[in-house]
Amino acid sequence: MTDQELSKLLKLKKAETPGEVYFSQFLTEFHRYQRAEILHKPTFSEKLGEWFTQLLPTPRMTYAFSGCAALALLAAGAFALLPVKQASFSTASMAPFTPDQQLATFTTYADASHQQPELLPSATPERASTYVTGTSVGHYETVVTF
Amino acid sequence: MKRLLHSSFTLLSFYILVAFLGIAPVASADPAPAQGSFIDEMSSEISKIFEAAAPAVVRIQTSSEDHNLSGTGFFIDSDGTILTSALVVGNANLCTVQMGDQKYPALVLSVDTRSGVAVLKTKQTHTPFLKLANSDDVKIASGLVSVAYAYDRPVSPAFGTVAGFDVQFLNYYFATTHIRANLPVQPGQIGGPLLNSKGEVVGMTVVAFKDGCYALPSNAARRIVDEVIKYGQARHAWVGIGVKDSPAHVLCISNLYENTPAATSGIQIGDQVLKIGNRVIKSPSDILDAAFFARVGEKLPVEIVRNGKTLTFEFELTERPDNSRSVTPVLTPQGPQTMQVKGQQ
Amino acid sequence: MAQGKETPPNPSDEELVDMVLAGQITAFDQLVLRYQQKLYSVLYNMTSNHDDTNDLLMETFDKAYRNLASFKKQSSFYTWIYTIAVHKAINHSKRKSKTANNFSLNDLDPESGMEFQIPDASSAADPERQAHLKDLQIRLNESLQKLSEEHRAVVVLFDVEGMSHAEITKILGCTEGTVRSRLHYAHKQLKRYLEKFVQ
Repeated sequence: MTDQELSKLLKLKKAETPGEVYFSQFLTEFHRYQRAEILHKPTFSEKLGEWFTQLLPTPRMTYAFSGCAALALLAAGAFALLPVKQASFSTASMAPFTPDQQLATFTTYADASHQQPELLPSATPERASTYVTGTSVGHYETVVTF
Repeated sequence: MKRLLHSSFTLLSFYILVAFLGIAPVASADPAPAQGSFIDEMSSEISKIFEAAAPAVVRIQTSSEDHNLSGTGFFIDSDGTILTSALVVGNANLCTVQMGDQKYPALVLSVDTRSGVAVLKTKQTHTPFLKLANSDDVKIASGLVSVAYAYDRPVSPAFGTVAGFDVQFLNYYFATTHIRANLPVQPGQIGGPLLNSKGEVVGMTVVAFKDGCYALPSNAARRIVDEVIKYGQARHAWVGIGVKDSPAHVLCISNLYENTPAATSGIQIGDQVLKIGNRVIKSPSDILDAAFFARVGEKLPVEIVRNGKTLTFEFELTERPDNSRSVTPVLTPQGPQTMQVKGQQ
Repeated sequence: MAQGKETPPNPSDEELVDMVLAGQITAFDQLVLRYQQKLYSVLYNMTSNHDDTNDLLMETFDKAYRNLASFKKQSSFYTWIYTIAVHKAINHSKRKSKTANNFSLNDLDPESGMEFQIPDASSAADPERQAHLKDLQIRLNESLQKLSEEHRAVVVLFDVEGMSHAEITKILGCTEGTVRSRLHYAHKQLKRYLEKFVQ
C-alpha cells in the first residue's frame, strides 16, 4: 500500500457522519446537557480536579508536576522508613526464565525453531490493562466460504 | 376366620402406619414453600459449580509493545494445558497466568484466529482442570454458569441461559455455529468457561455484548485442541467455494477460488448446495459447521443441484489459505469464473 | 445585545466570543453550529464510537463555554476549541482502554445510524464494491484504534482533517519534529495493519 493510497483512504473518513438529523438536533440536546450540568453540584473533589486542570493547562506541566510530586512522596517515604528491614518473601513464582531452566521439559508441541522465550519481567504491568471484551472483529469474515 | 380378620386388621394397620409416616412429613411441612427457598436452592447449585470450577480458571495477561491485555482462561488437563480466547493472547509467545495470588509464565502453543482459540501451557503439573462436555446436548434455555475474571477483580460467577445458536452476527460470520447466551460477561471475562449443571464446559466466551455473549461450543474447541496437540496447530479444511444465502434459504455457489480443489472440479457458480458430507444444507450454519469439523486430507462429497439435476462432487480437502484474512471476490458478472484469493501463494 | 455595538452580519469567532462574554450568551449557539460537524469528525475519528463522540462533543462545547473567559486570543478560537476536543478524546481513550477493547459493536451495526457516505461515484451503482469499501472503512477504524492515542491524533488531524504540521503543534503542544515522526510511525503501522485487507 502506498502513502497516497493510505492518504486517500483516510480522507474518506471525513465522510463518515451521523447525518443531517443528528446535527439539526444537536444544539437542542446541548442546551439540555448544559441545564443538567448546571443543576449538578460538583463535589469537592470534582472542583479540585477542575481547578487543577486549569492550573496545569498543558500535559507537559501536568507530567512535570506529577513527577515532582512523586519524587517528593518517594523521598518522604524513604525517609520515614529508614532503617528498613528487608522483608523476605518467596520469589519462586516470579523467578525469571533463563535458558537453563526448564522449557525443555515442556511437552512443547511447537516446532523446533520456536525460540526460548524470555519471561517478561513480572513488574511489567505499569501500564493499565485492556480487559478483553472480544468486540474486535478483525478476524471474522463477511462471506460464507468453505 | 378370626385369624383372617386378625391378619387383615394387622395388614391394614400396617398400611395406615406406612401411609401416615409417608404423609406426616408432608403434612407437617409448611403448606406453602418458604419465601426464597427456590432461590436458596439455585444459589446453592451455582455456588457448588463455582467452588468446584474456580481453581481451574485463571486470569491471563499478555504484554505487547502497544497493550497489556487481560482475559480469562481455564485448564483442560492436569498437565497445565490452558484454553483461552485468541483475542486475549494476540501475537504473544508468552503470557502470564494468575492462579489465586500466584503468577506463572505460560507458553503459547497455538493461536488459531479462525476459531478464536488459543492453547497455552504452563509448567505446572497436577493442575485442577475442567472437563469439556458434549455441546450438542446444550439446548435453548439450558442453564449456564460462567466463572471468570472481570477487570482486576477476583474470579466470580454469573448465571444465564442459552438464548440461541448463531453463525452470523451483524455482517460477520463465525467459523462455526456459536452459542448465544443471556448471561452478563464483563471486560476481562472473555476466554472463560460456560459450564453446565455438572460443572463441565459447554462453551468458551468469545464476544461480550450488552446483556449477553457468544461462546464457542466445547465440541468446536475440542476439535481445535486435538489438532494443536497432534500437529502443533489447527488446520482448517478448504474446498475453495464461496456461497451466497438467499431469503428462501437456497444456498448457491457464488464464487470459486483459484488453485483449489473446486476450481477444476467441474462444479459451477450457480449450483445449489444440497449436502456436504452427511449434512443436509439449509443455512450458512450447516455449510460452515460442515467445513469446520472436516479435516484436511479427508475426502468430502458435495451434492448440488443444477438445472434440476443432482450431481455429487468429491473433494480432497486442502488447507485453508490464511485463517485470518477475509477472502474478497473479484467482480464476476456471470459464468463459471475463478477468483483469486488475496495473498495466496 | 452588547451595548453600543451592532451585531456584525457575519461575526468572526472572536467577535462571537466577545458577545458571549458581554452577556449575549446565545451567541455561543452560533459557535456550536459552526463547529459541531468539524469537531464531531475529529472526535469520531479518534474514538470510532458514535455514543462516545456525542458525549465528548457535548463536553467539549460545555468546557469551552465555561472557560471562555480564559480564552486569551493568543491562538485562534478554532485552534483553542480543537485543543479542548482532542485532549478530551485522548484522555477518554486512555481511560476507556483500561476497561474494554475500544471497538463497540454499535459501530458495526448497520442500523446504528451512521451514514457511511462513500464519495466514490463509481461504487454507488455497484453494491459489491460499496460493501467492500464499507468493510475497508471498518477495518481502517479498527487499525486506527490500534494506534496509541497520540499517534491516532496526528493521523486524524493531518490526514483526515487536513491540518498543517504547524497547526497540529499548537493543538497537541509538541514540536513539528514530533508531529512528523509520529505521522511517519503511524502511517507505517496503518499500512501494516491494512495490507492484509487491501489488494
